[in-house]
Amino acid sequence: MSNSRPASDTDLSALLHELNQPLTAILSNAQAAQRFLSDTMLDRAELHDILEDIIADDKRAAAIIKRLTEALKEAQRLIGEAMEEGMPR
Amino acid sequence: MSLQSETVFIVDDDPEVCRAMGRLVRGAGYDVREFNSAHDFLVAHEPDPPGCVLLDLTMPDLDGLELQRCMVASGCHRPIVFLTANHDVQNTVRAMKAGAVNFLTKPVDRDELMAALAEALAVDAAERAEWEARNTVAGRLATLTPRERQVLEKVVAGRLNKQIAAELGTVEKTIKVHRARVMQKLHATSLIQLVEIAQLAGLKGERGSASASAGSA
Repeated sequence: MSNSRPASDTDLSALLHELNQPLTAILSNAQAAQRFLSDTMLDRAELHDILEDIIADDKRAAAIIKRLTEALKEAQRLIGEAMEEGMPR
Repeated sequence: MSLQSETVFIVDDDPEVCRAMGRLVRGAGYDVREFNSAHDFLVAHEPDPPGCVLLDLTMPDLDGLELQRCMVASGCHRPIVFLTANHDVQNTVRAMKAGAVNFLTKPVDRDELMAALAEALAVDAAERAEWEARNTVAGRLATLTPRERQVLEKVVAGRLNKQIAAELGTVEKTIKVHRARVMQKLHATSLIQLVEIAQLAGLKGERGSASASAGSA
C-alpha cells in the first residue's frame, strides 16, 4: 500500500481479512502436525514441510501486521487533521 | 480414525491455506482434492464420488456464493461447508438459504472443522441413498404394464379390490392377480410398503389419500 493514499476502511478490513489467511494456515498446519506425530510411521519429510510452511506463514502474518500498523497510523493522522480543521478557534 | 472413501474438495484461493487444510483433512482419513479457484473446481469436479466441499467465501473472480449458485444451477447437490474470514451475517444467511450445511470462521479449529465435515458428509450420504432408492423404485415401476400401474394407483389411493374391479370393469379375481404382480415387481410385501414405494417414486394415488384406508385392505 502506498503512503500517499489515505487509509480507508476498505484497506483496513482488507488487511484484517488478509491476516486471517496465514493464521488459518498456521493453525491447520500445527494441528495436522499434531495428528501426524501420533502416526506409527512418522513422516519426517512431511513434518519438515509443515514447519517450513508455518515459518513462512508466520512471516507473512508479521508483514501484514506491519502494513496494518502503517494504515492505522495514516488513519489516525487523517483523523487528527480533520479534527484540527473542524475545531472552532 | 477409520478409512473413509469420502472426498473433501477444498476450494481456497490462498495456496498455503489450501495446503494446510488439505493436510489436516487428509490426516483425518479423508481423500482430499485441492483447488485454488472456483473455476479450477468447476472444470475438474466430478459429481460421482461421495463427498463435500470446503469452500472459501471470499475469492477473486468467482466467489464462494457464485460457485454455490453454479453448482445448484447445474444440479450438483454436493453439500458445502463455507469458510469465511469474518462473521458476515448477510452472506451467511444467503449461503444457508441456498443449502449450505455450515458456515465456519477462519481460523477454524480442527474439532469444529471435523464436526462440520462429518455433518456435510452425512448429508451427502443420505441424499445419495435416497437418490439410489428412488432410482431403483423408478426402474421397478417402469416394468409395470399400464393396467398394473392403474391398479397400483387405485390401491395406494385406498380403494378396495372390488371397488377397483368395478371401476375398471372387471372382476375382483383379476384385480387380485394384478395386485399380486405389482407387489412382486415392486418387491413389496405389504400394502404399507407399497404406499411407501409409491410415495418415494412420487406416484400420486388416484385420490391422493394413500393412507386413508391402508389398514382395511
